[in-house]
Amino acid sequence: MKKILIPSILIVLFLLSACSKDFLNRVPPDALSNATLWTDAADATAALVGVYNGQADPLGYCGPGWASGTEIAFFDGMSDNAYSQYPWDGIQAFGNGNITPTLTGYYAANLWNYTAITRCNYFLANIGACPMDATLKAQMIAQVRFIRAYQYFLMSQLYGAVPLVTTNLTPAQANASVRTPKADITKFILSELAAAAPDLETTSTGADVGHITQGAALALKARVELFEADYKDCITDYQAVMKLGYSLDPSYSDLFRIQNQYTNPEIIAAVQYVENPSSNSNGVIGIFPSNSMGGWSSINPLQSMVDCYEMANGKVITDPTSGYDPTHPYTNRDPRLAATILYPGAPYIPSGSTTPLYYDPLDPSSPDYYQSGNNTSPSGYEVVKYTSHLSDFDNLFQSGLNMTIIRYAEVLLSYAEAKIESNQIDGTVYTAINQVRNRAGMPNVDQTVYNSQSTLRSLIRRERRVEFAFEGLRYFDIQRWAIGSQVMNGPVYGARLGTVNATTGQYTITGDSIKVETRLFATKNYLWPVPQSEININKALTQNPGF
Amino acid sequence: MNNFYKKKIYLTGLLLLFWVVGFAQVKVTGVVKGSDDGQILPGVSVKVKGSDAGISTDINGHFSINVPADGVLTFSFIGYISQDVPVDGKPIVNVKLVPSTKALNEVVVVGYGTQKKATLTGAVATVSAAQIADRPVTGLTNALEGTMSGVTIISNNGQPGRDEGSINIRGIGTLNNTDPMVVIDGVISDTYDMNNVNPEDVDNISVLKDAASASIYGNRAANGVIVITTKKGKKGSAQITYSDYFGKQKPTDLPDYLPSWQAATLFNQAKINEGGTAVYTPAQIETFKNGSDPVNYPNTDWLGLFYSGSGFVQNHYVGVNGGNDNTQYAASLGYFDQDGITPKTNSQRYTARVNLTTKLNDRLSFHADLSYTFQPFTEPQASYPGVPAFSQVLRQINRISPIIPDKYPNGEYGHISDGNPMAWINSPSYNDQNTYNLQGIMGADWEIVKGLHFEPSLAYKLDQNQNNDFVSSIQYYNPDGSLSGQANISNANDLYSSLTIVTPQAILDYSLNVGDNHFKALAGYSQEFDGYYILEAYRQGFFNNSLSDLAAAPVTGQTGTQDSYQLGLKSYFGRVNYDYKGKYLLEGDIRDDGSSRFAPSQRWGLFPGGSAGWRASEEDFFAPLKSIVQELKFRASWGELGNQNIGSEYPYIATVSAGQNYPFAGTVAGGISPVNGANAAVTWETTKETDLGLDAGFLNNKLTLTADYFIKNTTGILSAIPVAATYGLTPPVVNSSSVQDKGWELALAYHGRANAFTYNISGNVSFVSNVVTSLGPSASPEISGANITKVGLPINSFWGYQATGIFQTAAQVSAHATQNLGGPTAPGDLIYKDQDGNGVIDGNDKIYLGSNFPKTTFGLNLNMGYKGFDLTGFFQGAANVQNIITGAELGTNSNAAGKPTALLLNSWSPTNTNTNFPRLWINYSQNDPSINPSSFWVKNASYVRLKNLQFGYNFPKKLTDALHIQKLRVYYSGQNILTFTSFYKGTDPEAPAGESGYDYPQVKTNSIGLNVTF
Repeated sequence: MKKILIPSILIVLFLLSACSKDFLNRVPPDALSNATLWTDAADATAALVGVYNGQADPLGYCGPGWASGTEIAFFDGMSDNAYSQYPWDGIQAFGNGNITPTLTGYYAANLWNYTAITRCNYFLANIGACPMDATLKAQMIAQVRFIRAYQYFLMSQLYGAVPLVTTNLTPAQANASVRTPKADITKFILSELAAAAPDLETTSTGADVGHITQGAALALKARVELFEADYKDCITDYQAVMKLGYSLDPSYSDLFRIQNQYTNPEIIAAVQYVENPSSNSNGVIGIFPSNSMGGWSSINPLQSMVDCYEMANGKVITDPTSGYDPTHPYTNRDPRLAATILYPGAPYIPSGSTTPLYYDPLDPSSPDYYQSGNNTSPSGYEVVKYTSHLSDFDNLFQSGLNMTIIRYAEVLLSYAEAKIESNQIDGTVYTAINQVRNRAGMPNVDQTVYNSQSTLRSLIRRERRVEFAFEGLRYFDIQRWAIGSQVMNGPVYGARLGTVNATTGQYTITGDSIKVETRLFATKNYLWPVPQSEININKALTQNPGF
Repeated sequence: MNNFYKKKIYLTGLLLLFWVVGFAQVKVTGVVKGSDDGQILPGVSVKVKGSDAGISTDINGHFSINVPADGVLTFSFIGYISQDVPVDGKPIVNVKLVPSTKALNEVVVVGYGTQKKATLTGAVATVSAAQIADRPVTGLTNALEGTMSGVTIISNNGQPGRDEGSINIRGIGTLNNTDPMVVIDGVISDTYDMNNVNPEDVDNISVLKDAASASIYGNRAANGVIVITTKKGKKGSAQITYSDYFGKQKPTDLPDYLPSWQAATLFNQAKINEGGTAVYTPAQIETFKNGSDPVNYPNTDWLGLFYSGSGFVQNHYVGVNGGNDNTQYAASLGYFDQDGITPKTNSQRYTARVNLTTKLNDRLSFHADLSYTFQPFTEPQASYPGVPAFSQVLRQINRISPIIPDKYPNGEYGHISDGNPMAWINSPSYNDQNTYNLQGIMGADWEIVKGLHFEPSLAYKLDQNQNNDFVSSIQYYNPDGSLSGQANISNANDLYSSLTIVTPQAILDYSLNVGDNHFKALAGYSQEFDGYYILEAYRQGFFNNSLSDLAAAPVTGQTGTQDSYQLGLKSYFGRVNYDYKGKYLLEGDIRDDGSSRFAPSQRWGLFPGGSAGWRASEEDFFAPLKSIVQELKFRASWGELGNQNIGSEYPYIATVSAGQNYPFAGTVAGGISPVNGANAAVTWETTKETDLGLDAGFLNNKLTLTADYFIKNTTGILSAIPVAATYGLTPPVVNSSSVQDKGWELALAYHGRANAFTYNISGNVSFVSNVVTSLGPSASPEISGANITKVGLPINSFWGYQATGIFQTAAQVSAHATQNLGGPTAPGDLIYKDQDGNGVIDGNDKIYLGSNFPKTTFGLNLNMGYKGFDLTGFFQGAANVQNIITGAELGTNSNAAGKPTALLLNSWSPTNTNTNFPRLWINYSQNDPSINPSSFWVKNASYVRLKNLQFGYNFPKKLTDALHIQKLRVYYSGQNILTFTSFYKGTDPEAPAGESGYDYPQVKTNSIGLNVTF
């Protein structure tokens, strides 16, 4: 008996373990299924947050959001405002015209991206059946429609025609999606924003800060209308925004300080970040400061940008009566120059210190020497707009600074531009521009000089470039004004060689301007090439002309 | 004297008498010869069975020994079958030993059992303990490199604990994980578990290469199966072995970075090439060169600072082996300790193993094999934002310019904006990893009726990993003492993970011999449960660098994550073998597999296989040839295998992922969203393989040959092939692509002897070609940097422009197709061929430039012995293989975060036009191999390596007897001693594809060791 017993026990034990029916039915322990979701407002709220999280940062510097701080930080590198010194960021090739469809893995390929749109479509397809308060539901739907519209705005601006996708696709459908003409995309954006605006809250305060509001929807709508030269609707929409209670922050230089970001009356829409945990932090501001200040000097202002700033008296530097002294080029300039750009001899306070130092990119022994190749600016200029106070941040690469996408100054200047372009030059035009200039410490527009559509056009374009430097708008402006061949062609320069007195900051010019690079602009550069990797997969996609 | 004593004396006398009769010693002499060639055999061990008495034959094959008249002599010699000869009172015993290669009874471990080598019909390669013994290898994988045909092992990293290498059997069969299945003493394991096995515990290794052989392991066997059998107990008194070795490692090759004056010179040239001006004056360059101002014009030897580890290796092993008729045991303990060639890198391995077999009665036996491995590992960490890995330390060492001082005169570290890698190494940062592996199998063998065995077993494997890394905060200063930048925030990340695999299994095994008909049948069931768990926590902002436990950091900014998955596999399998007279051989296999990775309707896959063999040499008509060809066997096999081993655990279930968070007003809100694409139709990926082979033996089987041709097609490869961006989710796994591998393999061995001099030569060579035959409906190639996976090309081929020369004049540039590839094209740039002739050089002009998977691999083992001395040279290599180096490995032009290697010295410049090397660059990328790979940069990476050189001495019997030990051997052994290659100087030819300076170099090891058997 014993001889049989032991093997029998073995067999029984074995069969017991083998026969469990559910052995092969395994489900992920950490993910939900759509079937069990959408039961109440809490589910919808979580899904809404998932939509806000939709756009991954194209370069991975920032946490995800409905837009990306990295775009804001880098886009001026594609314009005459700045040079993007690192080829791997993928911006330089847009600046110098060398962009090709096969620069894969770079920025160029990463914005042809439907992740956020897919999330919006998923939300909109499912929210209908979710039992919850109707007003709240309508408000959520409107936010999602805004985010989808913003994504289409960005992509159609960059690539022109893109596939218009409003439902969730199967892989086979996705692989056959065709490009929708830009005009149809624009129409879609405008109608979506028009539909969303009434359902949105007029302002978001307290714990709601960061949610998309009516002001954002109308301001984006007006921006698209301005870009499309639909000035009539543009003016109407901006007038509506002006009634919503926004105002300019009293200080231009404090506009981007983290201290003010939840209460700043000027912010209409911003991507939100928090210092910690790191997955939702803003690391992109670390790309601005020079090595010795703890940054990477990725975006380097060009002389053309510096020269654009007026004198403090409101005259352009090319005006012989302006008082501009080429040997002291940074003296008596528009205060926004010093608030935006760190130039040779400019004072700055290093993090963890209270003693100002003077920025010296010109001495070979300086840690900021422009030629050192060590995360210093090859143009001799640094951007200080977001990092005017380095001590505001414990860690530049993990900061909690929100990145502004739309602010009230844009409403004012865009309104003025639309009025100028539609040749309705009235007092509101000057008032709008003067509000922006006065806030920065600049005098009113000289109405004797700027009294015609053409003079005002040059003024408003300069004012936009100066006011919004390094806020990602200049590239779009070059596109829509079609001024690429004038401003994006030929050699670009940095500061003039010279010396900086380490104790006084005195800048003495001893040499020529630094030549940064030579650019080549072609008409094709008004649009980005469709990534070749996408065309490889989807044979129905066409390439933009010239690529 | 009373009766009692009388009796006692009587008994004693009787006993003495018996002793005299029973143990009467006779002197026996004789000569031992080989049965094959009749040559005398010196050094044969001659032992009296059942006692310790024994001697060796002398140089003339003679022996002389005292033996009880009824005693038995055991003759044993390496390469021959041991023979027992009863003395029967004869004074002369002449013996002919049969070479073991001829042995018909030699068995080979196959799936779920063993099989006679002679009647094997599949393609199975084997390695014995002797072939991997006494080599200073850090793991079993490395030890196998080059030992078998059809097995491609690439070892390209010499870092302690990270040097395991990769294994591929018969090419690359899938776009998924191509690691073969590993079975250790019946425990289903992963490739990395091979390095949990102490190489000295290994008895033999079988590699089941063809599908028919592997199919019995079905659901994991598509990449081939490696069956490892450890040493089991043997009957007899306990035998103790001790062995050790001590060695020192050195890098096989390092990039040849130029001194600072040359770095400055090349930087000037590159600046000028890009339309800039020289940064350094000739006088400054001269100061770099003459070293007169080391403070401002230094020449830092970063590699010298870095490669300053001891590289010391030591290994100790104790094994005990023995048993009686019913119970046999083998137990061992091992310790291995390896210091890296860079400071603070170390890995250790503690191994323990007990193998036990016991027979309860004639019908029932139990066996239990249990092993435990503990491997602590440490390496430095980089205080580099976002990427605190050791690879970042390596990268920065290969990157930071000699123009940057290691330290300023004020004692502070010199640095580039990324930091100073020596500051990182000297900081308290670390990455400690403890891995624990427990694996055990317990099973029984119950012979229910004669020939029918029931073999249930339960295998258990537990891999635990405890990882602890700490990145310290470093503040840099300028030479004047002022702060430079911000200190990084110190942080620590702790991680614990465990993988449990439980595999119950039952087999019914039946064998029946009816006359000349031999039947064997096997039926079995097995299931596998995989449970994985990981818990991770992070904190930052430690008060200072002296504490690194998580609890010592503030909770602000802490994160914690946990993840887990569970998988199930079920399989029913069967095999039948039939042979007639050992001449006509047939085998059939079938397997039905179910996987939890697939939806219920797609879950099960049926995979058949079969093989046949014909031993022509056993036919009557073959007799006339038999004097030349002793063995000739033809084999053919075909089989199907399934694969479900993909990265995604639940590829068919559509999910909504958590963690899609976003902050409002400074507070992060929890968000959810679909992220991953799912595909309910996903099912088994299938590999079909046909194998044709032959085994032959010549010259009395002194020369043996095995040849195989195979063709392997994998279809329905489970991969997440790219989907258009409009899909918006990560691409789902689909059964899409197909891959074909075909090739042939040859193994030759010759065992020779000239009196006291013995020698063995064995070699193997494999040719395998790999081609992607389909990439799903869109057939869109996957391009990543210099690599492409495209229909018609090998997986992950090199892809780039065809460089046809260098532009010498501006006229040439303008006459050529527009080459706008990241900088204005000018004389000195590479000329790329306009393949499509459209006048523009772009992505459409790229072509196949080679593959990093070697088409040819080979090994050659030369082994000779003379008396006590033995010498082994083992060569191994690869051919028809390409590689490319980029970035810091090639060298870059900079005066801070980059430095040139000697490879850049002969570059084109207006004054050096007679060269094939393009002009230097900094930002222009038209010649940069990482951005615009071209045929100029892809090089032949074929190599031949003296993988192991061993010289040993066995102390003579006389001496070992005096020391009361059985065997004593001392040896020198060297690993990776010499490498011959035409690949880039400074980079090992086996370096990872597109090596760019992130990897630890391959090492060579010189060691001395000792083996003692008591």
